[in-house]
Amino acid sequence: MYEVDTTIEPDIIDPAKLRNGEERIDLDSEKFVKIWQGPNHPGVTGNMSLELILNGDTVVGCKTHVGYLHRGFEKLMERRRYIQNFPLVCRICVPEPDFNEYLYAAAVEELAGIQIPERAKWLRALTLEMARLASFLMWMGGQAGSFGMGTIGQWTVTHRDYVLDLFEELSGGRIYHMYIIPGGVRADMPVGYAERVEEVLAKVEKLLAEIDLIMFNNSVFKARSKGLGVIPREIIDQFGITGPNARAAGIARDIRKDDPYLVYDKLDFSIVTGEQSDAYTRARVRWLETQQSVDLIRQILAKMPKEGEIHTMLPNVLHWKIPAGQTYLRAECTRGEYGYFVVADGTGYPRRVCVRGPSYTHAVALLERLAVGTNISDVAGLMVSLHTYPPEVER
Amino acid sequence: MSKESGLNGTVTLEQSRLAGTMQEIERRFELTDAYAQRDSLGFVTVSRKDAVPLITHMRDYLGFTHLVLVTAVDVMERGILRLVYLLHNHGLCADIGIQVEIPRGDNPVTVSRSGDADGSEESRAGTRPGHDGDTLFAPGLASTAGVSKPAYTEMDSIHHLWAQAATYQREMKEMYGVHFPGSPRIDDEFALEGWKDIPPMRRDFDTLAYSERTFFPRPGRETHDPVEYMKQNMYPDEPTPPSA
Repeated sequence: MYEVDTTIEPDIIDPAKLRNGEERIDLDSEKFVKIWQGPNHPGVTGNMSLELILNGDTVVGCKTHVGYLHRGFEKLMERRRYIQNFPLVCRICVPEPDFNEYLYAAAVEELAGIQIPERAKWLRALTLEMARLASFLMWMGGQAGSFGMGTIGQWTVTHRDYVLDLFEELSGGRIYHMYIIPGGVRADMPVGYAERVEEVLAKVEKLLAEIDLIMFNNSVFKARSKGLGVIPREIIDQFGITGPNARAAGIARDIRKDDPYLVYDKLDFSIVTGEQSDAYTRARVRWLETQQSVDLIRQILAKMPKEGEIHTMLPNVLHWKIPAGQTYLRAECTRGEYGYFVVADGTGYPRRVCVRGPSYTHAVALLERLAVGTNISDVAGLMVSLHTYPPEVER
Repeated sequence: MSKESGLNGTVTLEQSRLAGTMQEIERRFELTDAYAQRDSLGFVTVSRKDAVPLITHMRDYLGFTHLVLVTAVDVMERGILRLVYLLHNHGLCADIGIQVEIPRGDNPVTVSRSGDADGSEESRAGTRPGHDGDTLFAPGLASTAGVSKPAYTEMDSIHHLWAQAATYQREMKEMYGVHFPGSPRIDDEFALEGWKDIPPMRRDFDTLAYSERTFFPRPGRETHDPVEYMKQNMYPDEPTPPSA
């Protein structure tokens, strides 16, 4: 047994005094402690670290550190032919590699003036929505796990694997599909594929109903996520916030609706929004968008042309020279706006490729702001609720 | 709005949904180039002195409230770095890329506080990283004695307009050697730790040479010339192609 000296009062600083300058963070004062959360930590998404300054168990300072996954993709792309970059880009993002494939291919097509067949557009949209579904399932497990509900994570990872099985059947790859290529897609759907997709969607729907009961009606989840990491509406543009993080604040913006790409203008869906803008609302928005993805996949399968070309005939890929020009293309991934800025200089190599991932601001500027004032035990939950993903930051 | 770069635009600015915005910009600022890439995407080029006022005007008066990205393109052959600020207008669903060309300057290289890392020609030319732990970046190694002050090529900061701009500017200092005086934590490392070479995203940074001199060679990682290797293994009796 340890004896506790009850005469010692904890030296807790009023956060208001830090804000107005009456108190300052002085690590030598013994009122603060600096700890590192990450780069290897079960509560950190991907490999990044947070340098946290604590007073008691409250975070009073936060700095994001990235670089643990920097692989120099953008530099590598400048030294490879356009087609050589095609198997490279998907590796920027594990949860949703297809957005990288699509945006890179679409940028090359726009600069080169290539039109893709109608059926290829539908197949691209199908893979993008399946990628969204898999990513949401992965996120849901992470969010539940960060609040101590590990079982939900096991369920969602299993169901994500069912989606990966579908990707494997379609493209040959589970994680990196290399399916969307300049000119169209690499292969058509196998016989009976739509039926097998429907079987998985039915399983996911059943899972979502259970998660609704077990996660969103769980008093622990409610107590810990409601009021956590509230993003005020007025800072949405100031911090460049997009995707569910913005929609949970009531901002009805969705690139699929506002500036439809591929076949999204032919699909029937509405933008999901929330009001409270806290971790609970963001989780609810993502849960609803997961259901939306299930519905959109069904619509795509039903409305897709049954026959047709899937790829435009193109000249020898090793001899492509893309006309000089530059473009930016965006798409709505599960975390927000994903974009590719591509500059061509008329040679066989891109002059510059810049990848814009939503985590660039969500994981750095926004997280550093929201973490201050948070209890140390909620930092992991906050980070997952922003759906941050470090490789988008470092590329 | 007569300026057209003739790059790859499929529509003219007058036809695009950015026509009204471009008229307003041209009335207030001197543009050296302006063109539409497509209906919802245009690019303009302005001087450095006009860049931040134009960006501020677009954000505050023209509805371009979303900073999509800030990046740089190294146009080494012209001796410039082209900075690109991509702004989005949610109402118009359109983007404008504001381009600013700044002098590329010499490559910042490492130099120890007491002089060159080892006094060699390679170190002076910045082609080899210094191995002295106490180093700092300096442009072109103008002085070989004593401490050289860091003097990066500079651009005005926009961190006061968008919070995430500071992150982009930190990255560009590290990757392109562009300094943004006054930007928060601008001297903090971003993705690289203990980097001692020229900024790696500059065109003349040789990734292969860097890897070969930095990392210990491992067996099984030999590099083969594809033409020679295929000839040797697949058709050794055929004559060597003219391009080889």
